[in-house]
Amino acid sequence: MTYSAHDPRTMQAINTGPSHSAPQRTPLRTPPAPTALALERFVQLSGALTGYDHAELYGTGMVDVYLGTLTAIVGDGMTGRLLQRWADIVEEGGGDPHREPHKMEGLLRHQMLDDDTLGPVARNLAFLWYTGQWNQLPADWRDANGANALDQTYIISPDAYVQGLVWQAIHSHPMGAKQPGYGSWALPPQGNAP
Amino acid sequence: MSGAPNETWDAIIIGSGPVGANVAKTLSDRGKRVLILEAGRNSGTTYEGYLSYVDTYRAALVKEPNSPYPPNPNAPSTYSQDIHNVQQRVPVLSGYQVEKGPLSFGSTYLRSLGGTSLHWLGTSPRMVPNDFRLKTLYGVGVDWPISYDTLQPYYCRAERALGVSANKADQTHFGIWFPEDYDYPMERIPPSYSDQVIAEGTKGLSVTFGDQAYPVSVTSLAQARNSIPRGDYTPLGAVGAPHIGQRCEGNASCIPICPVQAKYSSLKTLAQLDRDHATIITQAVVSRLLINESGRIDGVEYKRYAAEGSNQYTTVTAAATIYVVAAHAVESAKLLLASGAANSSDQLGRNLMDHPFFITWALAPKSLGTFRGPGQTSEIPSFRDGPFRNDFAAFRVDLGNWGWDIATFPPNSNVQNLLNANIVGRKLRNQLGDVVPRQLRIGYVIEQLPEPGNRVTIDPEFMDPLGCYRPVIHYNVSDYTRAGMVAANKVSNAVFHSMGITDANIFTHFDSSSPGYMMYRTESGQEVPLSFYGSGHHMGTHRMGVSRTDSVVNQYQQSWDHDNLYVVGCGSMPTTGSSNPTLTAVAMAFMAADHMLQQLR
Repeated sequence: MTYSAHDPRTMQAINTGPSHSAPQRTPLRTPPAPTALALERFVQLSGALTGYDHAELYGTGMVDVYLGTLTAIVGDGMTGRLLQRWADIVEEGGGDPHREPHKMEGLLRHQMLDDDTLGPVARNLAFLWYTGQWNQLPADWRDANGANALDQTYIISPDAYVQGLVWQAIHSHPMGAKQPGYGSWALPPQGNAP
Repeated sequence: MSGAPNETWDAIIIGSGPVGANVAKTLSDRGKRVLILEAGRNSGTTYEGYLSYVDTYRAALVKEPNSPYPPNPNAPSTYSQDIHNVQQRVPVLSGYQVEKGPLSFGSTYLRSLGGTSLHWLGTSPRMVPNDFRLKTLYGVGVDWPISYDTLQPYYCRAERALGVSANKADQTHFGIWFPEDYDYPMERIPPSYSDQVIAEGTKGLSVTFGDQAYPVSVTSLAQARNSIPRGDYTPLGAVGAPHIGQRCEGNASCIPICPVQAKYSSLKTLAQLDRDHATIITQAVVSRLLINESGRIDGVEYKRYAAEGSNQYTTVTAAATIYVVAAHAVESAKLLLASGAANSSDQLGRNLMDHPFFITWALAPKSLGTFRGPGQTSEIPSFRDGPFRNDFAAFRVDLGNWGWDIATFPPNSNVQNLLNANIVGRKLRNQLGDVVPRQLRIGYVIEQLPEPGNRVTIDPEFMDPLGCYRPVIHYNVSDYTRAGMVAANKVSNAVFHSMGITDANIFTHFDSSSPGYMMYRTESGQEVPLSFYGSGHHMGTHRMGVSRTDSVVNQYQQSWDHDNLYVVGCGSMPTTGSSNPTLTAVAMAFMAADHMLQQLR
């Protein structure tokens, strides 16, 4: 058995960029160091989008990289709008994002995910955290908000792939990394008990 | 390495995959001087170089079989993204191989030092004895000029050379036998938790075809990846770092790359070559064999390029006593066609076969612990042989360990689908954790018969940057194999139902845009859709036979037309059975190499 063909429909949904090899990237310009406030809001928002706590997110080593990626691709202004909207949601939810999770979830959905401009960016950020992959924003989004040359579908780096949160979510490890050891696959997973 | 072409060699071997490498080792171990010519590059022979492949894989968007290995325009390979639905556009020119249809040939191979063994899965079952007598027993295909018994001792050698892990007791079925004092060099790879759930869920199950019930049994799969050694066997670790990869570490990325090299690749055999007797030249694309008036091969002409990025090359010739074409079923046929060699039978390039790979997928009631371990650790061998072969193709049932993999590309597709529904946060994490570990994908490695119209040809219209021919592929799948897929689907439903999976949780469907989509008219006249993928098992293009009229080579894989030419590899297989072919090809290669040694004496 080998894996050699693909379902183009699925493939298109996942991967829209160049495919034969890692694309040649222009190095990201070094964005100005984020303010402590921006960083705090970014980590809070990332936690709300991913379901991972702040220590887990910092533990990936990707917080700075992803905030830098986001800023470089959608710009300072859009990043600022996204983080400000998050701050507004927190304020409307009573100031503590963890106190009333259901209320926060509703606010996040209505005020960010349903927003034509901020929704695609927020979903992209969540996908980035889960997979290490930035997806090119939808065509209508780029028409409305500007198309940045860096906005391509690509995996940020080998390490970003390895740090993808999805692997832990599915009770496993990144394929091709964090090797669990001989025979580990024969053991009951037990991670999925309700 | 320089200056080598001016020397005269005992043997020139074209290709450095498992077949070429093991022929080279057999000859050079006996003091013969061999030259290996490899079209691709050698970037994997240092441990650091190999790790750069791992990084390339991790950063690759589409983690398809060739994704870790950088494209090389001077020795091109086809990438899966280049394979399209031929029914929508003929010919397909997007990849290296030109597809003329009527169906897409969904398989790829790799041109690099180590060949396609860099990306293979490592599955290494023997063929069953009846596979060698298909015509006699079932009235289809052809018989082989050799039997299982002839090949048996060479299977033992091949299992040692590739480092196959299995228990003899698990593999003794359908007449497969082993010498009394023999067992595999390493113990079987532990079956996955998922395998264990399936085995439990299918206890007592049998599936009926005609008037015969076939009991379903789940059995450990023979695999060329390192496990616990038996006796004096020392596992072969990573090239340049032999303490790494002494055991399979469960990286779950065998295709396209084992990060620790616990899986066999022919880089390991090449690293063992006695360099006083064996020379390897890479970036050397053989373009032509030179034939003299008496019909013997006089030399090879190859194009040596300096770098991937430039089409500058020098043309070099080299000469030897014997010539061994081991360049892959497609490339070997292509080279011989381009040379006007070895084709008095008109069988060269014909009878191209694969194992059309049929898949079904479903959600199990409870976690199977997927995305752990090698791609597959167990099989259901029940349908590898039986009276049904009068009517439809045999198949091996592979139990996947990586969720729905090529069916839907999890887990990324699951993440994307949930995000598209605005499901985020804990709900996202929990739903992924609930669903993905329950994904079950079963694969069916289905036999395909030799047919003259399925073939590799060459055409001056389609050349690569060095002026070598690109392969032009003509491919179809016969009703015998399509009927095998329908039978496979019946087995699939029986297995799923037996495991407590309801029809609502069976997700198998066939998408008309997928490259392997096709229709089949059943015996009752019903038109049903089917779909298949390539297995990467190119076979049959220079088949062996009993006479010079029916085949390209004899049982020693020696050309009927040229005494000092051997064409070795999966292309020599007259039929495919349902066994992944590398092990058999390497066994045949040892048999051929012994014959070469007699010629060189």
